[in-house]
Amino acid sequence: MEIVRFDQVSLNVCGRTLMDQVSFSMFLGEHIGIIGPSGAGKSTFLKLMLGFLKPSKGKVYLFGQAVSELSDQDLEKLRMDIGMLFQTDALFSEWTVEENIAFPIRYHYDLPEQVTRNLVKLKLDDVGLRGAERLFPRELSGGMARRVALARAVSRDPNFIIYDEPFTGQDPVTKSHLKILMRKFHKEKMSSVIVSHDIKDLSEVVQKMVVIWEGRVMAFGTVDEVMKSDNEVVRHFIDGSSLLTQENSDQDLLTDIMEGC
Amino acid sequence: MSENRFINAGVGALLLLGIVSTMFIAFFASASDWKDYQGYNLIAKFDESAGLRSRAPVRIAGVQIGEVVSVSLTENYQANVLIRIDSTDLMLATDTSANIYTEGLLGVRYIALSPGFDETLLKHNDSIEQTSSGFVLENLIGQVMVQAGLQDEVTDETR
Amino acid sequence: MSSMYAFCDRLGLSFRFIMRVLASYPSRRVHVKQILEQIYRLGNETVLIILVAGSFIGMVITLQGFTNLAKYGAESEISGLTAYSIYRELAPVLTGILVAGRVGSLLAAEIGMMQINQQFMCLEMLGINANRLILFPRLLAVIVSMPILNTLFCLSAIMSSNVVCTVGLGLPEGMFWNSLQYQTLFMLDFMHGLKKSFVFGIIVAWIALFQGMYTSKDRLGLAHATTTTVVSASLFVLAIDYVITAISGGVMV
Repeated sequence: MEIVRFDQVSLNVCGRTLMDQVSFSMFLGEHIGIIGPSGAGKSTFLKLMLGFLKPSKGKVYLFGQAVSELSDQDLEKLRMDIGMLFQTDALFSEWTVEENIAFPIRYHYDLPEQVTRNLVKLKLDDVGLRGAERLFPRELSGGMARRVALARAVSRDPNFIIYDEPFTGQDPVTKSHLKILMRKFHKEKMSSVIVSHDIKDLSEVVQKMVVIWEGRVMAFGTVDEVMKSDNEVVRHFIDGSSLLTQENSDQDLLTDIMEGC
Repeated sequence: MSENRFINAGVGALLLLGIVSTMFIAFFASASDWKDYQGYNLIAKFDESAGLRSRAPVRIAGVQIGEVVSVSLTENYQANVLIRIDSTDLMLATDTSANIYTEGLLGVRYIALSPGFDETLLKHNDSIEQTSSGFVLENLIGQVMVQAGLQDEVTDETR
Repeated sequence: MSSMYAFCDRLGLSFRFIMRVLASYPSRRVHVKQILEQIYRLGNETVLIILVAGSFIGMVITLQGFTNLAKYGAESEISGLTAYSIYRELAPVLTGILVAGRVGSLLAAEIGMMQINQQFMCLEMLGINANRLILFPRLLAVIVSMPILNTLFCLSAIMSSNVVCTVGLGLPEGMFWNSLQYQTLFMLDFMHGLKKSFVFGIIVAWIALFQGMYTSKDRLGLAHATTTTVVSASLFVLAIDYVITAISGGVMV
């Protein structure tokens, strides 16, 4: 079953091209990494995929449905089947760890209180944070917060998980812990998309990779294929050399969209 | 969920405080123009109203018992003053007199009523017959100057 | 011209924003719970500031007015004069400005922080309506609290004025209340101020929430949002106060 499909998707905002005729598809059970320098279009890619942005040209399909044609309720239903780990963790600072994970469950389902509590305990145990229920996000270290966010992302056992820059800014121990968790969850018949700019970290947890640069797909294939690619940009990335220039930037995009050019 | 109860109580207390304060202000700290007053109106005509204004106090023995509603001009160029007595319990005789006095030397004009002795009472929209006009400073100065002038004349004559 | 266009664009954006939020009435118990929490956070916790400010203003206006009235021999009307100014102008405007400072900056910073932390996007992904859960409760909390705070300001001012008059100026207690009861009208004066404070509440909440939601995600975004909120909200309060006063000028006796 096809999970995501991009059909010649382009996005032009304020005269800038943020996505240039990108075609892409992903199937159930696949784990794909999206890589590129900062501002290349990785977050834009995610936003287009999840319906936060509408393409100027082309169509985006999620679980086989055209995202831009969905009603708000249908889009909401699709999104609820997806677990997402945010770059900033996006934990609610006024609530305890337990409330952070339990809130979406309590909001949508009418489960007995004890069942919800047990579910939270289970998920926290899965990420190795048993006993952290009463803590507040500000009391957690970066790695712990990330794992709490991960616990929340998998709390409803989604089939599709998205990780937005999970390794960025984490120490090696946390990174390896995250990778172990990712491999653990992925065994259970899930698909995932991991956005990162570290090719080495990515190659340990995904099978296929997409290299994006200036809104265009530079390479798409298995990890081996991409590593052996002779595309100039890809080589820069693998070698870690930094002579790339960027015209576009995601930060500016957000500001533009907010303020309308 | 004890913090829940605390918040509920807090909000409830705030609303209660608001309502109580509003009622306090309504009854003790402002005129109750939201209920129809149970008073009655009287009319008094003056030759000179001398700056009497609406909402000026109407007093008996210095105590405010009503206020001036409006001041207008009659066909004979008199000042037609409509006053409102706040309470229907306050009965005034038909020979009550109305005077326009001033508070302090340059202060607020107000109407002072002196109760009369008649047995008949004034009813809603009756006229007060006995009125005396307001005091105008310029007239007094004029009088003083005239007096001073007469004094000079007398002095000159007696010399 | 382009800055004019940008300004109109932003104005239109903020108008559509407030319409969206106003339409997001609570539909679950959590939403109602949030409303109560916000009223406590934004209303109850501002009461102290309002009471203190009210008492100081009450005392100042009383003292200031007394010296002026003494010239005309109308000292007995001091309480009425004080209350008149307070009910009609000072209470709503000062409450508006104080709330713009405390509550406005708080809301702008809080919502801006949530925006930067991707919490709104997260809520959307989780299928939770952020308008109903986060924005509407805060808007309603401010709108409900403002008139109450206004009333408390008035009360505090009157009480402190009472103390100044009876203890400091030697005015008999009875004259204080008598003048108050005759010089100010509940409907025309006090309610006039109350209606103003209601309008000011909407203005402050609107500006604060909008600035927070549309914070620019650069380094200074949050600081800019907060300061803009306090400044714009305060100035708007003063401007709208002028408009309301001018319009209703002919109505008063």
